[in-house]
Amino acid sequence: MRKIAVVDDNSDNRLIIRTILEDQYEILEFSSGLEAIEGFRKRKPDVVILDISLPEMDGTEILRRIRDDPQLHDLPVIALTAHAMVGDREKYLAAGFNDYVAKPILDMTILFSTIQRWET
Amino acid sequence: MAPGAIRVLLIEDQETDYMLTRRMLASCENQSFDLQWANTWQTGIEAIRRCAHDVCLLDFRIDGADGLELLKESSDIGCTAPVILLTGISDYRLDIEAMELGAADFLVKDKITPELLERSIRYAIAQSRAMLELRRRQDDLRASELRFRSVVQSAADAIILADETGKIVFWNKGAETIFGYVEDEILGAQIETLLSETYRAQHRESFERFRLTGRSQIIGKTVELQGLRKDQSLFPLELSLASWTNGIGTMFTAIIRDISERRRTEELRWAKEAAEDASHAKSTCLARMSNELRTPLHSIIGFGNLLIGSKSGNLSDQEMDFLGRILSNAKDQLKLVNTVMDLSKIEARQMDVQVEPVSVDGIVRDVVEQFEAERSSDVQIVLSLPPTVAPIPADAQKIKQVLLNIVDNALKFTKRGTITIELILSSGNRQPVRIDVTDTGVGMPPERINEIFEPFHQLESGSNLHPKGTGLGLSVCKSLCDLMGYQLQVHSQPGRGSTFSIVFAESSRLPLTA
Repeated sequence: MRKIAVVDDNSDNRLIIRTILEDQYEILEFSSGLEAIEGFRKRKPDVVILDISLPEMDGTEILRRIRDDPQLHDLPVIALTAHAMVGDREKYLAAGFNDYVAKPILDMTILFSTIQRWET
Repeated sequence: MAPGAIRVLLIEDQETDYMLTRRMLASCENQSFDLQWANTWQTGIEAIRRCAHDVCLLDFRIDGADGLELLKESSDIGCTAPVILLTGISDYRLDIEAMELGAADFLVKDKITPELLERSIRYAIAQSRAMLELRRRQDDLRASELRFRSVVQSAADAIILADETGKIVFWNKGAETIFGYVEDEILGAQIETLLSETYRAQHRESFERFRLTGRSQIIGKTVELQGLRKDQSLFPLELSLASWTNGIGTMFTAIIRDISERRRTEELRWAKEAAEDASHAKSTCLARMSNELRTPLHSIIGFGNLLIGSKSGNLSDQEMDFLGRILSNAKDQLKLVNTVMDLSKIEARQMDVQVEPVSVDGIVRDVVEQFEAERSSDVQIVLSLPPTVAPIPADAQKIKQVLLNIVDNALKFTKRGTITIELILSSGNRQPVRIDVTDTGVGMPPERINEIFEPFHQLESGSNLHPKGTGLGLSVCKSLCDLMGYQLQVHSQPGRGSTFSIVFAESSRLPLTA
């Protein structure tokens, strides 16, 4: 079973994604950036779903650390965020995220198809 | 010529006197001489012009002419070798005249001894060298003074010297430009004339303290004060003050710069930084608010979707209906949040336009595709696209958002009928000039057309149709079009439908009303 990591400080959000995906994927949950990066080094997921607004270390900084890490730099990272104003999508793709899904997820198939694009 | 020999030019028409002079010079033990003899006025003049001698012995009577004439000639030519005049008779008046004309000495022939001649020559040469050196130093001093003056006068800063009583004794051009006084007006005035009233007492106090204790808090430093010009206007200045002591007493040098311009630049920079900080704070606040407003909706919609999609079949039809209503309202709420946030972002001027080559036909297709799932079967969306469309420089994301809102609006007001989206090109370069979205919905009277772009204005449709929304969508469209430099035009007839046009290019604008 492929592993999807969900990094979000909101337990509701983690539970929703877990419920949607857990039939098909193994879900690794993290509530902070530091915890996540440590966890990735121990067990590298296939795809990361990363919230942007996190306390202490935000999603963009976590992404930067992933890209700087020789072991983790090639991880596909999908931004999942409520930052969904005009222009945000372009901003996050330009920042180096592989893909972008806006919260709330109105259509669950979007989440599946986005993950499928990046799991190799 | 023997090394160290003094080159002597003798201008003398008497051969006997020449022989005598030669013998006398030859008899000197301590000094050798190299004697050149000119025995006519003419050869004398030529020899003087060559100036190849260290000293000239000149007979007062030469060729029956006046030797003083030759003396004048010598100094006119610029020959620097000293001239000693020789004469047959002692004549006090002549001696004085010769001295005034620059003769180094005046010797009476029959009183000359070898020692006297040798000493006179030696003194004449030494004196002439001393004179030359003095002149050179004076020239140097003058040049240096000139350089100093040029530097001081050409400086843009005011350079002012004051004596120990605070009286201005030097004033340069820079000072004139800065303060408006010319040198003659200000020399002798007190330095405090140049300060604003508020700084004068302070100046007097520190001046007095320096006089008594030799200590000052500003000497050797740069301070900022307020200056007073001749026209009584005040201005900020920067002063660096030095003091020095010469034979006359203590002097002060003040270098003053008008810093009005610098102050203005600083003020502008502070204002700009403050504005940028405020703008950044606004932007951060908007982003946070957007996030906070959406997060609970994420949970509601997320869990709602999970329940509806649940395959356990434990929910009754009525419960499923309730769930559907919860979800539908949450989605409306989400749309509203998005629109309000966009509008705030535009009004806070936090929205940037990002221009790149854009295929407008592609945007139109995307938008239509997005509505295919939502529209009811009673409404048809018809697409009218030309076969080849040239790209235009534009912000694709924003055009798409405008078009989405317009089509969404058209769907709201059209219960049954057709929505036509037409892309109109320029006949020349095949670039899009306009997108028309025409519906066959309820339409509106011309007098209300401008109101629909006001935020929170929702037209009462007067029919049973109950469109959802706040009218914010069209406000966002209008603001985005303004931002991109496009026109958003409306063409409508009540009961017949409306046409909304996004106008990219000037030439194809429609009249604003129906």
